[in-house]
Amino acid sequence: MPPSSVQFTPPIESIPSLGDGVLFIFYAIAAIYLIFTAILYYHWQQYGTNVKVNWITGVTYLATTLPLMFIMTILAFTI
Amino acid sequence: MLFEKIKLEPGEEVLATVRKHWFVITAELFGTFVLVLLPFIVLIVLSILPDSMSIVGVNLLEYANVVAFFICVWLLLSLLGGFAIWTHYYLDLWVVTDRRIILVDQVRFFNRNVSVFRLERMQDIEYKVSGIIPTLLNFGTLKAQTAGAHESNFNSTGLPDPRGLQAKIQQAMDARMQALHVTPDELYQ
Repeated sequence: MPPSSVQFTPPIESIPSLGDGVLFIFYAIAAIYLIFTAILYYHWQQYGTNVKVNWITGVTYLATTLPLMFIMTILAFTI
Repeated sequence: MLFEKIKLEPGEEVLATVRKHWFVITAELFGTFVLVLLPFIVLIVLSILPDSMSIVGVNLLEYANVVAFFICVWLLLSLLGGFAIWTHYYLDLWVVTDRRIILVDQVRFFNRNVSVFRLERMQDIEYKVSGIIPTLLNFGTLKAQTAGAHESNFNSTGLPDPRGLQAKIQQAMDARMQALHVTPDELYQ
């Protein structure tokens, strides 16, 4: 049989790599994080009843989530 | 801040601000704690059973960065869930004043109910403590009925010391009636 010129599978370079997938997920998570942070800030700013509790919540939030975002950023751009 | 927005009436005095019992938030945050621990438990199990991953032909060490990335994603989403739970807990509030009860119910983000019940319109207040843990830790449900053109009820669960809160509201109601020089019978006629 003559060789067919029809290509049934996409070329390998058009398939997203693992790094591209991770980077896409990173951007999605970063967007979710930014939106969530804005919503959280708005609610505590508007409806909080105690400045000290607002402050402790904010500091705890940033202290626990920012390092994770930092690590994710490094990993996303190195994979 | 919230109290600036509630706008108390001139001379109105706040008698108590009440949030749900600490056990309620502890129980809810325990789920978040388990979620945070979950990837580490999975990693420990996989390290104890190194042959389990070779069955599917994957060597986790080759993908250590990817695994670390997804653990970070998992931890971050779990923490966001935990902070959402904390926010909903803390922004739920009962404010009992000498004239009314203000119920702030933070259902979800951008879903907030604020109800005001005037003490002179209150009728029955009942509390219910049901179960072993609520009995031991003294928290329960408070229900009240108000009378008026549109009869309405409120029902709050997980309130600390519901008996004390009921007594406090009852005292405030009595004082309010005296201040208005009316008896409950006159009010509802």
